[in-house]
Amino acid sequence: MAAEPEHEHEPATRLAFADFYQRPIGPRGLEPNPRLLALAGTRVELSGFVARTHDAPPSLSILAPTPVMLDDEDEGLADDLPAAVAYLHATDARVAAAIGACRGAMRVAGRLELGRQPEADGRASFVRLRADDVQCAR
Amino acid sequence: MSTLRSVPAAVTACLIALCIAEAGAAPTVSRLTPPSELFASGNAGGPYIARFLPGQRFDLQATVRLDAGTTLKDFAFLVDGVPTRAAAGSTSVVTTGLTLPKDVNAAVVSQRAFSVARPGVHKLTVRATQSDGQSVSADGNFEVVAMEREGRPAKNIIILLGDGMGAAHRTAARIMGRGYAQGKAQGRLAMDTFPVTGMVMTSSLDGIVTDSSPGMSNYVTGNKSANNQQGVWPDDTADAFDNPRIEYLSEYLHRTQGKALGIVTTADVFDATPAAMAVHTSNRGYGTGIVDQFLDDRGLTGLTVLMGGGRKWFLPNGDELKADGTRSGQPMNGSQRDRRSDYELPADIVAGWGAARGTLDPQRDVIGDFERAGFAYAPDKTALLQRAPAADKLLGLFSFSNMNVAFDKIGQRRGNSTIVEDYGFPDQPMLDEMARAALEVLAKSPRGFVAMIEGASIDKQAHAMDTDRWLLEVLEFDRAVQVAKDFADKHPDTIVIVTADHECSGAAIIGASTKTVSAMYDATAKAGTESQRDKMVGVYQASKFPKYKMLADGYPATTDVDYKMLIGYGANADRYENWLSNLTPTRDTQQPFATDGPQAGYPVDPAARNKDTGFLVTGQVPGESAVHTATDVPLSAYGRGAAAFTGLMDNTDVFFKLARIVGVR
Repeated sequence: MAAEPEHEHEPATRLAFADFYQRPIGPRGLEPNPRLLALAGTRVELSGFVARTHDAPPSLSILAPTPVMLDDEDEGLADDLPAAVAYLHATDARVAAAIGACRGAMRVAGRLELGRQPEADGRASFVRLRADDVQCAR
Repeated sequence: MSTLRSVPAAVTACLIALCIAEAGAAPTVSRLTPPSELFASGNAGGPYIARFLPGQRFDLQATVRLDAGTTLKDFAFLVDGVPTRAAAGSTSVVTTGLTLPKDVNAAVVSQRAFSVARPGVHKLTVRATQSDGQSVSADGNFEVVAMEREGRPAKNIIILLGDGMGAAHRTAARIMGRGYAQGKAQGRLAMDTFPVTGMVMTSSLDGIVTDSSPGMSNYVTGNKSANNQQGVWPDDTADAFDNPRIEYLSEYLHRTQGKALGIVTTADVFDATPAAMAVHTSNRGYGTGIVDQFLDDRGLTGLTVLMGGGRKWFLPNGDELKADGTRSGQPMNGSQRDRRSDYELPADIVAGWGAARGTLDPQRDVIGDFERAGFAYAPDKTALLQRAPAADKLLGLFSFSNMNVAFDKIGQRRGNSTIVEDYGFPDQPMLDEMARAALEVLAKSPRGFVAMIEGASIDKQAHAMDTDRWLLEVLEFDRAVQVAKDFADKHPDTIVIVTADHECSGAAIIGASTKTVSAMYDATAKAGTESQRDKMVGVYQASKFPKYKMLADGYPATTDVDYKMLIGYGANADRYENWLSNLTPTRDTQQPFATDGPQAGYPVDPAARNKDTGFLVTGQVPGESAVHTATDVPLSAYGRGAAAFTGLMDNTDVFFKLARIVGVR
């Protein structure tokens, strides 16, 4: 009998991009909200849009609160990404496939990780979801 | 026993050649910089690829391919047969970190910050000797352009750069913003009122289609750069900041005339167009190093104003890797600074150019350093309006990356869009507000200034084939043009030019809808070529004269009007087209996740935008974005010396015209 996914018994806390940082953003850098910090390491659920990229590594997805297109050859890191985004790292191939196939709004659940981490697209992420479940709007 | 005399002559020759090959075939020169057709093809005549102002500084460089097992013994550059004199420490030989195949034995030899004062065509020679005594010589040429006296010089230069803005973008903005009746425009855009217009050829060093790096750099160095590179020529080293340099207009005029530099953009300030006013690099993506050099080399450029987006490069990244392999753990401040994209210049550039050496310091607080250098810092529009009037130097960083576009900023100001709120920077200035503040500060420079003001997202939205958004970008840009024109009216010793780095997307005004907006929305339920193309696109006289109601803030009440103007794209990627504005921020409770803010109002499937509501327009280019084109772009000029900008010109010609106008001799 196959082991049940670890998350099956762990409910996910609904999180919103507006919960990430103090709003409006202050004169310097981002200031994470206490709610975000308190949820680190727990299972959360976040809704948004995967940023469409020109040439992204296949395993890399960025979930943003608004639909965004990135990485036109003439753009690079001078992009239209909002400050509050979450990098999605799929826990298995099924989840990775579901993320890749979803072309619109999605709801993603997974363990929340915080802290700076270099990513394969040349950016650094600050919020990541170890995605274990994906619901695509279409 | 055979002797050489008894062996047939052909075989003898082969044996001799084999001996020579084994001994070394002599070094060769595979690259000579500045580039020239004389070196590339043997053609000594014009047009000359490399041209300079009298006394403009540039680097000499050559790649010498050596025989296996040898080293470079010595080298020399000669101009017109006379050995050049190099400042102490300004020459170098680099044999490691090359981008050549691993089996190639080569040396990159350089002399930095060279210049020639005498006008005319000059022959450049490099001579190199390898350790076995064999030597090589190669020739190229360059021109120093004579500067004729032309009346009273201007003191200030204002370059307004509509990124990607071709003739169609300007015309479409005029149709929207001013309206037409019976064939006559009912008003002119500010840029239309400039008395002189010419056309500019925009190709880069390595292709007929440029990108924004050489697109800007060519205007302000007088020389062609390659795509993705700015203020430099290509070389054979991996280092992105050691390429052979060409002195920027800002650097030259700061050095010779004491002028200040202002850079204003709606993009991330590290982006190609703003960076190509001041920073020399072969990699436009190296944000940390680019931003640092804005500040560190302000003594070379006269940087006085820097405004736009891109705050993520200015925040300290404290996540340093410690000796024990652990990280210090950075506050989650959003910094994108890293060592990989930072800079440290080689000694010859530091010695030759007087440039800052730099250091790999991702933990640097660049905003703090700007403030300590005397810059007033404005993080939003409110602070900008408060601090600019008293500031002698000004730094404005209004978003983390690119600023929000006019379509969304105006929507936010009118209270009918949440997109800017979603980004977290609700108090962003418009480009004309930034321009006004910048010119207010720059006007305090006693010896004048060079300013570049960029409408960056005309291009970005044209790449996305988002018609309504780039149209409003052009209108926002034109309001900044009016600010510059008003400045020139009060300061008549000013030349103002409006131009573009390139055209983007092959935009074309194909006609207008023959349907009302209501009918256009109804047609989305029966999406397809019949309902949305055959029965909707009005061409020729069926296009009539689309009318947009302009509000007091200078922007249309809506871009979705009855019988609206329709734009096609000649350099498009695949897209679904329904001719309606995208991402209408109206709440739709029928959408999945509708209660999950803030995207409650966004369409479900924007990734394949309009897929079920529009008809497929097959693109000519792969990918998902429209691309730049090689089409010439219009340049309009106003103020002192404007008459110089008629006719067809190369983008590098603009550099020399501007120099003449400000009295370079």
